[in-house]
Amino acid sequence: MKQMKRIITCVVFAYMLLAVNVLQANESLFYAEKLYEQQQYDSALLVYTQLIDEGFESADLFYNIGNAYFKKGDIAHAILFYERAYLLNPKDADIAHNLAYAHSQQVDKIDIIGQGFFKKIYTSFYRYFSLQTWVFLSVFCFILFLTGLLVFLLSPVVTLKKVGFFVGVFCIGISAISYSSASSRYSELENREYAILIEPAVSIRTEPSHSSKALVVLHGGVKVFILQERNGWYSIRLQDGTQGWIEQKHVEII
Amino acid sequence: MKGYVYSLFRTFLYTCLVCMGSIVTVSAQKVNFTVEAPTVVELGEVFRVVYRVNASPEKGFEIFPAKDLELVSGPQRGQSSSMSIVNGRTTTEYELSETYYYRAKQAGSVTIQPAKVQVDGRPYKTRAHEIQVVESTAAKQQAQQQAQQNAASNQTTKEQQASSQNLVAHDDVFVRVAVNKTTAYVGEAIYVSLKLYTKQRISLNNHSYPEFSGFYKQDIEAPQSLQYEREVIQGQEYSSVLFKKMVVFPQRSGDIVIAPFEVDCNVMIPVSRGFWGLQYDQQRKVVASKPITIKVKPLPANKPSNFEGAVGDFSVQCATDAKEVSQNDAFTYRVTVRGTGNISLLQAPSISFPSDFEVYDPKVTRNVTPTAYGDKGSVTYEYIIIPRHEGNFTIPSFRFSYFNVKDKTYATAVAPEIPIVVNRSHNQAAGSVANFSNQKEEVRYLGNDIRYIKTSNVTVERPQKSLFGTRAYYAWFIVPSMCALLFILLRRNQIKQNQDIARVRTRRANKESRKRLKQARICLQNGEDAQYYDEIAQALWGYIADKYTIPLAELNKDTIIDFLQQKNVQETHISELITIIEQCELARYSPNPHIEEKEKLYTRASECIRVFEQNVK
Repeated sequence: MKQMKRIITCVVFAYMLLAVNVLQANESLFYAEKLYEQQQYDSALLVYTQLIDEGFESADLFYNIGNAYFKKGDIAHAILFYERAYLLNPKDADIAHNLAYAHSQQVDKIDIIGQGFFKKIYTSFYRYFSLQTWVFLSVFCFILFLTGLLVFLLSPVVTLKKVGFFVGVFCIGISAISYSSASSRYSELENREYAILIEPAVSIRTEPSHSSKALVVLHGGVKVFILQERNGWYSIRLQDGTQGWIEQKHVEII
Repeated sequence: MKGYVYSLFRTFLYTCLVCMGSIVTVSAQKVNFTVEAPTVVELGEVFRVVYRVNASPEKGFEIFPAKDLELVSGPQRGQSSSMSIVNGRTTTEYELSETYYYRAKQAGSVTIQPAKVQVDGRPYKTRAHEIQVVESTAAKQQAQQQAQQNAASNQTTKEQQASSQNLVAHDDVFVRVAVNKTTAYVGEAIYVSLKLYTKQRISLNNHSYPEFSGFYKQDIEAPQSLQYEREVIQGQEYSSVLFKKMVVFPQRSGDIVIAPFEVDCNVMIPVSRGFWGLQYDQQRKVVASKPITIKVKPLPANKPSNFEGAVGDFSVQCATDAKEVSQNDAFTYRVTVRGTGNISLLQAPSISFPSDFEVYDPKVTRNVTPTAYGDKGSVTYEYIIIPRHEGNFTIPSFRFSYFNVKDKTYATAVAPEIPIVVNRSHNQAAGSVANFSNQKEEVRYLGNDIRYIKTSNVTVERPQKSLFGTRAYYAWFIVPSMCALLFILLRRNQIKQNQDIARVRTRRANKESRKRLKQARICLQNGEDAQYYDEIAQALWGYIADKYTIPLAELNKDTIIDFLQQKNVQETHISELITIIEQCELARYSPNPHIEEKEKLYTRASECIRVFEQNVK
């Protein structure tokens, strides 16, 4: 009994700590907004970065950080944080706009090999709901399907059997689609395969060594796809299909 | 009357002819009374002020010398007249001049008041002339050097002078580049004068002006013919030649060196007094000034956003030529920047006109005179604007930022905003054309930028591990599936069991009914009539209940008819069954039953059950 009490106290205390943390975070956000308003972007960034160091994140937070970097003139970091914000919330119009605008301000113009039509449709489809929603939908529809199945199998009434059958088929379909969407969204969120070039100018090399031949010189803000990692080097693919190697320290994963 | 006028006119004509033929009519000429003086002088420099009149005055000039000027010599009177005959027309020019030599006593600005003169009983005045007196560092240095030299080595100089009688003494001929300041801000005006001083007679061969790289320069005075003036430096009298006076504006910060000014000249050294007077020995000499380093300070960092490099002291004025215009009619918007500073270097201001205005590049009019403190005057930018749409517009207030050198701060001159009312065009033709084309205009985007930060409802959270992919997630699928499966199995089992019970009962139905019938037969033989009928009824009821697994308690005649009709049992069988049951009930309570009837009832009951057993499944 005494131990139980202690555990409860501990849990309550932990919750309070969390609440205090969140309160402080809100205060920090407000403070950073004020700094941003006064065009003290460096100070605003300091506050924001502290929040991130404390383990907080959100699309809006990343968006604001991106804005501060942009105003400071650091396009590469601005793009990095806009990309992060976009990843978390692909539906926000402001984020998409600023990301596109920041990309238009970067030095390098790389022809993007477009995704296929269906891939595009699928991408926008599975981004339509959040991961949580997809997870919930998949489980919920599965349970509905089971209910339908039960009705179909066990009901003595023919009409009920029919209803049960169709509901079951429909729900198992939705559940499968939700599962697939959830899986795509999950892998997109978890396996961060894209990175942004942070250094002002870096050459992409043919091999993971400084002595190898330079393929192309890239400037800050370029988005690259990471293929593999080796001895502190990344094998990357540009959006125009070029592949090469770059040192890990020059890029930051979205 | 007419004759009189005519004769008068004739007389006048004759008089004119006579006058023209004899001497030049002085009175016919326009009287010009002018003053001629430099605009910028150095402190201590001797300069000339010349008054000229092209007529013979009744009295002398009446001049009002300024307090800060010291009269060195003068007045020198000069008189000239010339006569020229061109195409038989004779013109005579007459000029009277008075020259005064002054020296400024104080740095600053001196105004020479207008002088007066009377010609033919009418007074004439010159205009007032302003002279800026500049203190130059070179002058100061030289004064100091001289003081030191005088104090320390009076003797040596004498010796030197004695020994170098045949040579050009070191400081007999020298060149000076004088500046009025050696530290300045970028864009601040610096006054520079280039002069040669000599004690000897010289003839100039060649001179090369220093290159003012890093400066924007503007000549204040560049005499066409070099003139010798007398000037006293260090108590010694020199002839000075002014090559140039100018004002320069540094264009970049840092130390900028003004290269030496070189003059190549022949110096005439008196050698001996011969028969023809003094004999001179010509000696060629190249004299150069010392290079001067100007420390140019950058402008302070806190520049206003609309600062475009103006340094000095300015005021601005804005005006339109109309407050109310009609659509598609042009009007002008005039911005005037007035003041002193690097006004020649100003760029056309960027004014954010309403975007519905069609604005043409401004016409720039500069009215600028270079002075020691920079260019003085005004620049006017004249924009021609055609409003394309009706409405009430406002040309925003014009803010002109400049660096005030005196206060060492940025200042902003503001001209107020100007409201413009644009009325609908009265020109019907233009209006109808505009309507006819009915073109929609593209919305003009003036700029693009990132959107503002999110300020409301920004929430931050610690990232939570998603449910997806975890065991818990899959448990959500597996556990309900298992439950469903279990439920189905259990239910199936139960149904099966129930079905078994029913089958057993059905199978037993015939047997049970036969047992009852047998019992009935025993009762019949024993003469227990009531028992007999009861057993037969019970046999039938029980048979139906067992056969169709209906609880006995729910059975009555109506329910049985309904039920059997549902089971599609033939009407004849149903009615047979019902009649037997009814007869049993009747016989039970009737006092006098027939024996045959009793027997017959038994066979009918067994026949009925047999038929049911055969035909009904």
